[in-house]
Amino acid sequence: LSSRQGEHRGEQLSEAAFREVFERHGDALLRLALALTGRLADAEDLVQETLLAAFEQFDTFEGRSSVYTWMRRILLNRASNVARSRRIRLAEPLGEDEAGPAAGFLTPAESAEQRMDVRAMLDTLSPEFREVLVLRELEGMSYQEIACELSLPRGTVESRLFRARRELADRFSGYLGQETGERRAV
Amino acid sequence: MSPCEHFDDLNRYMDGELAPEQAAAMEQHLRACTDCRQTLSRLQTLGSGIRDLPTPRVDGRILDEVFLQAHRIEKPHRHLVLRRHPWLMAAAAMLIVALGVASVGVMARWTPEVKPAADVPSIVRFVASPRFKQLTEKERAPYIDVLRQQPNKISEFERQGQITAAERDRALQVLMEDQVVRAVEGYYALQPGLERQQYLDRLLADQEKRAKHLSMPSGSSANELMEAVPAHERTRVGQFLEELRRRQEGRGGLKAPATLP
Repeated sequence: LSSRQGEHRGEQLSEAAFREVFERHGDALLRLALALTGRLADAEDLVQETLLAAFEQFDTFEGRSSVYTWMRRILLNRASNVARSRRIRLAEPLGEDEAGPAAGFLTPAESAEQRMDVRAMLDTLSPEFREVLVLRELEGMSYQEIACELSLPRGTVESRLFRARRELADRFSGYLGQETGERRAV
Repeated sequence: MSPCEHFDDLNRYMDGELAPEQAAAMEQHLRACTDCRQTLSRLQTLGSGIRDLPTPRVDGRILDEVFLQAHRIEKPHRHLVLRRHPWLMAAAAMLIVALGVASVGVMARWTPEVKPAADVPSIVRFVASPRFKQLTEKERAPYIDVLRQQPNKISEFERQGQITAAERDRALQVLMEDQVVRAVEGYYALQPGLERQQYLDRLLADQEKRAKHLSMPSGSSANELMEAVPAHERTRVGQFLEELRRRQEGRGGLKAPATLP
């Protein structure tokens, strides 16, 4: 839609035009939502809420950013509202027999038998940490962009990002070391 | 991973957030520090793992649901109302039949101006098509207006082979849904009390007169009817149907269940 973005700026969008938006950005929104929530059903709900809000409020889209950026902002707002109101762990907690702090670290031999389950790793993070990490890694946003997007000081973004990575690197050193071929005793 | 005083800068280096001279200094440090190299490697693995997360394609039905909701059709609410009040379902079903046979008379008062149409069978086919569902209420109106003028023609077209039976049924359903909404509008346009009661009585009398061998439509028809009712109208429709039920009971017709939820 980007080439036609100006045509729709500040207007009510027809369903046909919005379908085009959906076909262009729907997969990326679901990808982000799934990384944030960890459950497909929750992710689809989040995408649906986002699309509904975007469709109904399209006349408020001023064209200062891309349509995707605008919709991503809606999605993030809604995701954080859900996280705040429900304080949900945004995915099923890891079982004791799965990789996680409760199970201790996998030895290199064990990790060789299992694929790195990144989604399960993300599930162990708090929503705030997870959000920043996902925006950086999945969306490729700079620290400043994340700070603007989430209305946080840049220092807070850095702190959350570094802590998120440190937690994961500490907890899943077996996985991460194995993936890079660097087997460290843990 | 052992603690490393360079951890934060290592992150910044990996993310391209260091100034060129800082980045150069970090590269120099990495050449000398095995721990930092391993840490960087792990962080890069983590990042690529996140970027490579498998994600299914988004289901196109999500968008259909969005459009439905945007048209103020709230399924959970609707189903809740109908499940909690089975008599409401029965009243809605009865009303569909009553309105389906009452193409003139009571309804005629609220029929707007006729919109001429050159090819009515084509309009019927369009109304029956999935594309019609995607239109807004406002966009639908002129097409429904055409059908409203000549409801009997719809069946005739089917007999003549100009439309299929499925198209006929769908078009009639659309028409009936529209008539229900109009019946409700007509009801609330009247003064509360006697005028409204008379209106309901005329509806019911019309039903009794025209449909002596009334066969109740299936519940799904009532469901479809309620799907067509915009959310902002639902309360009024509910009240209308309840009033209709009361009048019907008063006439010795439909009985409410012994215990209401």
